[in-house]
Amino acid sequence: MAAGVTEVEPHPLLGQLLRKVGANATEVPPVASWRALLGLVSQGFYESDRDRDALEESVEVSSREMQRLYQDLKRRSESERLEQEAIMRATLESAIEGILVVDNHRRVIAVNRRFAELARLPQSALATRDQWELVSAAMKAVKRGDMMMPRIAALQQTDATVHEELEMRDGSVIDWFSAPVRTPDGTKVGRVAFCRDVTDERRTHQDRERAREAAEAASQAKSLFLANMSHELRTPLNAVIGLADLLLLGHDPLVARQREYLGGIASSGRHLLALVNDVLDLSKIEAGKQNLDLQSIAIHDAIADGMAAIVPLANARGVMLEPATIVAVPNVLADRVRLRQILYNLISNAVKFTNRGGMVRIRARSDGDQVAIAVIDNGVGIGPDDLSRLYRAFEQLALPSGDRPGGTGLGLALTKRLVEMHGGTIDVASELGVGTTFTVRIPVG
Amino acid sequence: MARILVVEDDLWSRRLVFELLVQRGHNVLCAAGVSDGRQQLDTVRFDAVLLDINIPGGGGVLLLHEIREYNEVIPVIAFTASTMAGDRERFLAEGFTAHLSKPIDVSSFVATVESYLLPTT
Repeated sequence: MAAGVTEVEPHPLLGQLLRKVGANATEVPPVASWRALLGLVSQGFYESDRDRDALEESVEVSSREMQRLYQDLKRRSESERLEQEAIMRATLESAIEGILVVDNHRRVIAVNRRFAELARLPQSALATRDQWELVSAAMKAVKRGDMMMPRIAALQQTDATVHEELEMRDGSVIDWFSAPVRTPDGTKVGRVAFCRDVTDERRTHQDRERAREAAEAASQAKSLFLANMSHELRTPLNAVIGLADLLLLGHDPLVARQREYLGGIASSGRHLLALVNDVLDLSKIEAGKQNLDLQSIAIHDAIADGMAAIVPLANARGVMLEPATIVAVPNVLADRVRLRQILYNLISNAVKFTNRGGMVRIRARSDGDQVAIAVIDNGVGIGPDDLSRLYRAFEQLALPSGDRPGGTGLGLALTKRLVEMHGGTIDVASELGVGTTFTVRIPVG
Repeated sequence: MARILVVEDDLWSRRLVFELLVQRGHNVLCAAGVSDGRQQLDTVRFDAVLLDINIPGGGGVLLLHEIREYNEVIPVIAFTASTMAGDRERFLAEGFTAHLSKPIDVSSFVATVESYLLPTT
């Protein structure tokens, strides 16, 4: 044993204690030293015990704290989860749409009360977690809903997006949108359906559609009525004017008064015919039924055409028509018949409102991408008050004599609309007692 | 002098056309509708027909088609108060020889009708 002791280097602490009591490992120490040594060793054990106790205590304390901390965390995340759930629930409930979310196993994951309302289900129906039960209950409120069940069942397995309108038994209409729900990596985890009551929207849409159709039908009926009326009015006018003319042009002897009255019948008949024609033209334009046959027209020809028709009227009234001077003016893009009508109306107006001995001139010039045609008279002129009502239908200015001028009172209203249909404009400048200038601008073509 | 059938349902329009043509020496027969006109056409050989479109018994176009089945050359003139755009083209496409619109011009009416008559051999 002694040999063993000497071979082992004593623990540094033991070496320190041996040195403190003046002993060493190779000699037996005196009793005093031995006791002192034992005392130190014993003290060492006690201190070690104390340290271990302290350590154990501290470990115990921290483990308790850890536990508390853990519980705390657990509580906090639970409340956060609950809070989030509450937010989700509130969101679900605040949606206008009915919402139904199911997983791949036909379990209801989420559904809101609005869904039950739209499906005409009691709120208690939402208690089920079984999708099939919920959907078949919901389909009972849908017209032919039972026939849709197989399709819905098939749909469940697909990735299809469905958007359709369901007609409900109570007449309302539900807009139904359903689509797969996917995680960010694309995995399908279920399906979601949104449904919305669109009854009012549909009804408003239908009402609007119906109103539009009714308005169109009314407009067509009006056009047809006017066309028929025009036809029906022209037939007897044909006889009135024709028979009066037959007598006037015939060889039967007539006394002056008979001839005068027949002239009155013929001319009133023609006046009535002009009215019928103008009313028909105006209604056609207003019904959007007037189509223009646009072509390139030499302005000189159009003016010559319009003037030729007025020569008899101008001669009868003693008004001079000055031939138009037109130099290097491009052609216009216009409907030949309508352009003639425009010019005829303006020139005949000028002649009517010009006193005997007066003059009506026509000028045409190029004006940007339009041709400006001016009809200039040195007639009675138009007062500022009358300028504003020039283009109104049936508003005729009185002649200086107080007589009603010939014509229909529709000429300018019609002329303005015809010019505008060509994409042109009409302007007037006038001074009482000096004369009037109407300027029409028609696009070149 | 030609033999002319006037089919027109308006009494005074018919009378007017009758007077105008007769004054110029033509031989004129009148009918007020399709069946009347058909009967005249079956019994008399005409040189020309003046045909109103809007007449009772099926309309002037029907009668025109009947005439055209056996006579492609006889002048048949549409005679209407219709003013709808494209009417003239429509009438010519149906097989009418010409279109005269009401009201007629008394001073030129007969000359216009005569211009459509076939040259007599």
